[in-house]
Amino acid sequence: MKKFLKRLLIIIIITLIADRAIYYAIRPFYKRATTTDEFKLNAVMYRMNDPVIFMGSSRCHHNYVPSIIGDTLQTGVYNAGLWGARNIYFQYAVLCNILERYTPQTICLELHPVDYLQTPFSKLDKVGNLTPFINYSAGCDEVLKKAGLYYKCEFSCLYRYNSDFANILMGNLTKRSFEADKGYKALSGELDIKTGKTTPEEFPFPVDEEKLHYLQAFIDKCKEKKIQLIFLFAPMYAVGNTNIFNIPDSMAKKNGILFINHYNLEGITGHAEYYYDFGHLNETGAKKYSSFIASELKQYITKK
Amino acid sequence: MIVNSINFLIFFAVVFIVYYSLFNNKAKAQNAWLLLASYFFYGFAEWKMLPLLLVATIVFYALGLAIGKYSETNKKLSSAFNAIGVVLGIGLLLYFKYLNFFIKSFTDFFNAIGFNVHASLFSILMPIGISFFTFKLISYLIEIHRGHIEPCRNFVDFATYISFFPTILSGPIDRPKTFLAQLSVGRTLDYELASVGLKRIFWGMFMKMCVADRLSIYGDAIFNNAIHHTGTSLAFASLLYPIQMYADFAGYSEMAIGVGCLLGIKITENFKRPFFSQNIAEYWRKWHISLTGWLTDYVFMPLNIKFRNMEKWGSIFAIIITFTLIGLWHGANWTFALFGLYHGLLYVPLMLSGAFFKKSKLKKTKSGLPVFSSALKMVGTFLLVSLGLILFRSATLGEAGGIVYKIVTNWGEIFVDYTSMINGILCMLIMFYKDFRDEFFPYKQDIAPSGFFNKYRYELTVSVYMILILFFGVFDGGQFIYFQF
Repeated sequence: MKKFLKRLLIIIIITLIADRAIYYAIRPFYKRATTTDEFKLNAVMYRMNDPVIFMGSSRCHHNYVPSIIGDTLQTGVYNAGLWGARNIYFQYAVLCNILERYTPQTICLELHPVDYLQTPFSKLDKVGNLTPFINYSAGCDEVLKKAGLYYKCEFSCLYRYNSDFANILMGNLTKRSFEADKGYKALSGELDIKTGKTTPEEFPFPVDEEKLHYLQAFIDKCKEKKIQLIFLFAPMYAVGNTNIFNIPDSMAKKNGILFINHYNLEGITGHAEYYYDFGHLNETGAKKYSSFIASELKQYITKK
Repeated sequence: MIVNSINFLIFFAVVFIVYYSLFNNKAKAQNAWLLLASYFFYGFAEWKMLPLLLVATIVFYALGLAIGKYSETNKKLSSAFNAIGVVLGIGLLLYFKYLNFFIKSFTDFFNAIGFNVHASLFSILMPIGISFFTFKLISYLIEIHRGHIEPCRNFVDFATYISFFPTILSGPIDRPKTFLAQLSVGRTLDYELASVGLKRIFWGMFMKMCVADRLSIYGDAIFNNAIHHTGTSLAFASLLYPIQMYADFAGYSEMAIGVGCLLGIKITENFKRPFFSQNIAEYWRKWHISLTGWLTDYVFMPLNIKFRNMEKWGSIFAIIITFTLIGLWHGANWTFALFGLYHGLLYVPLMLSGAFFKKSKLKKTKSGLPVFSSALKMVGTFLLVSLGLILFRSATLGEAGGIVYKIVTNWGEIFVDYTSMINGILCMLIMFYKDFRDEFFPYKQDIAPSGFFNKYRYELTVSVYMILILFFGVFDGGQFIYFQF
């Protein structure tokens, strides 16, 4: 028994040493990766310093063009959105990390039902990409603990880059630059109304109290740091009667937050030529919408 | 409690420590402890079915004693008890697994030929692992009846054999003779055996978490939305699916065998690198060996003897029935039946040509690699297996037909998901390298490098497996495919 336990101990020691060594070897490659997720997260956590930032999931990532909005507002704008149904848990953790480094003046949060409903495709697992940023901020760690990832990452440093090998490899072998886009990623192509979804998207899911808690925490964090928070909802291709805005409406009212809801925006909604798919604008659509939203935001965002 | 979970790790650590510290070398106490642990493990997965497992065990234990008692004095009575047991075992399977399938199939058939038949289906909760433990129960009785073993006089030992926690949910299906013999003696920690077990557990975890679960991300994306994908993507996913299946099921078997080794119990082998097979018969001798062996002994051989007057055609008939049963064993669905029938039919050319009855020897080059024609046969066998697994993966025959139709007619752009593909394929290559080495150059493992690496070669190997799991493993990949059977 003793001999076997000794062997087990040696295995654990070798594994822990190798785990730490490989982690430190990989870390610079992770930070240098140009693949979308890794590049974007590194840029948002370590480099972004613009006064106005847009946050949200894919509908933020692809719909808001910082250069156009920045020109109108006469200030620096960064699109910190990230595709992949990133819900409020993710946004809250990212906000906490950003605030460790600097305090933006305005945050425009593109909301989606994944931020407050019990949607099956967007739960706590969406914060998985944030494991490389463990121990960066208390808020991020809190969310990682909730997702059951924190202690795994404490035990194994390498686990922080679990599943990232392909992206790190691709991101170091290919040269791409997203800095010029300031976080925005254009989608090319047009919605094919013959094959694409053209009916209004439905969300028949109950309210998620846990997500509401984090939405409120997001709001409170902004209040605490005196950040101007604006809720946004970009236009959809197909619209109908919906009650999905009850929650953001009431949250906005309760907290005195401006909610600019362009769910059904004349000139964009229903125009397939501006859409990549039913919920995401293509490059042409994003530019048109960015010009529009910039003019509207100009009334509310004052340059300090 | 999934075998590759933290819960299982904690559970097993407790079982292991108590097993060797409190009950070391005490057979009775160790078996009782294993039984307790096995019932806890089973109850953790599905507590409602614990009484069924217990009652079935008691009934078959009693039947075993009865068969043994009358085997010399009253052969007819002994055979009757055996028949009752076999019918009971099959009845359990039929009721829990196939009743609704038969009802639905009959009503569908009669409706299709013009009768208006309605029948409501039963709400039956299928006990997990039923296909595995009923086969153990049945083989126990048959082995006593055939005079291969004596009935087990110790209920705890018998119940431990039936419910042994590493194998109850997904096999391998151990035979009573070898297993019960191991329970009759006390076990102390065998350093070599335990070391082998530990290594196999981590290799099994690698297979499941890094290969199977990685490939399943790509496969699920394709198969679950088959109508939106091109034939090229479906063909590619169909080629990856056998590898996913192998990594998933063989991975589980490795872990089960490894856990057995740590407890000092040798569990039957279930896989032997099946993709290096030159024909379908060889493939089935290396794939899910414990099931194939079980059906060969208790279904194919008796049928083959029964149909011996028909010569080759009798064997063909027996093999087609056996394989249809193998197919149906996997689940109550016509896709599984057809999957089995397909494999049975693949045997026909082998039997007609006489190749089935000859032991095919692998032709190798001087360097030890298979010659080109043998390699080609391996690729051909793999493609045939891949085609058959489309039936296995599909929910309906229509879906399977649709996939095959698209593969043949709709070639186009392939769906690329770099993250899962690169990670999955890299891990797949690591698995292939190990299997390739074990298959063609097993002696090379005896040549060790020198110095530190030589001294700690074992520890370094296990650490490499752990590192690979931490870096590439899918930690929320879910249950094993064979858990549902």
